[in-house]
Amino acid sequence: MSPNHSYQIDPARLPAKLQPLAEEICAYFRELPRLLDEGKEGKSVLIHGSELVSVWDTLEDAMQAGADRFGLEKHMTQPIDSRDLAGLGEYFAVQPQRATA
Amino acid sequence: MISIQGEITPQGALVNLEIGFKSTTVKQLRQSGQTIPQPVRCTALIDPGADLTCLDPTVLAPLRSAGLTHQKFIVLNAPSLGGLGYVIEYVISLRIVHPDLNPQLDFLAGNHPIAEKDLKVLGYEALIGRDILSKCMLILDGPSNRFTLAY
Repeated sequence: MSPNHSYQIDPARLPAKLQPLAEEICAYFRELPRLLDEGKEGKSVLIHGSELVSVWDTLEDAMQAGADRFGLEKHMTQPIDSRDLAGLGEYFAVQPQRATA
Repeated sequence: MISIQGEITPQGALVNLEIGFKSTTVKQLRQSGQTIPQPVRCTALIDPGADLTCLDPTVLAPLRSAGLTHQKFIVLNAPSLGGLGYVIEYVISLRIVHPDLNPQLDFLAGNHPIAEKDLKVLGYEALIGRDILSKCMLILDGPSNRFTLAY
């Protein structure tokens, strides 16, 4: 996330095409700065609802863990990518209010 | 090699697809004695310009209601459909149905990632991209107005 922006991480701000995973995408965006600070770029997360369940070395490992733990229940397996800060940030960024005299 | 041959229509080279749960999920469902959802049929354009195979949401809807889970989101570049943007990816089984209707002649990818993208406006329900075409040989014979897809 950019220090020059404030964000409102609200599932309703995502476009319709991403709504099926809106809760999981919000959890991912919320956790992304910490994951990147910890050097986990390129690894993959398993997210269930708004909970980041675990971090895996490969996407295949995350998918296997997701299938084992959640089966057909909704979950997301996502590679950690710093470019998503800007890409998803466009949806969540809040325009700063101008000061009034 | 097995091949599918057809006419290049005004919309392009079209084939029939059958979409279902990925083979690993089908195996799990079968082992646990659960019902396996019926596959969905649709029409697909062979599109060597597309990175990734795409399906219209209406094709995925019956499988979603039967429990198809979303996998992740990806960035997709689709110049004719609004350019670069995030879309949701699913892993499914994909079968290109051979016109002879002999399943042994079909092209089958049992665990294949695809992108969900609104396509109906273009007149077909799926795009077969280079992710699938890289496993095939495609000949577009313009003067004869025919195509051959071999695998």
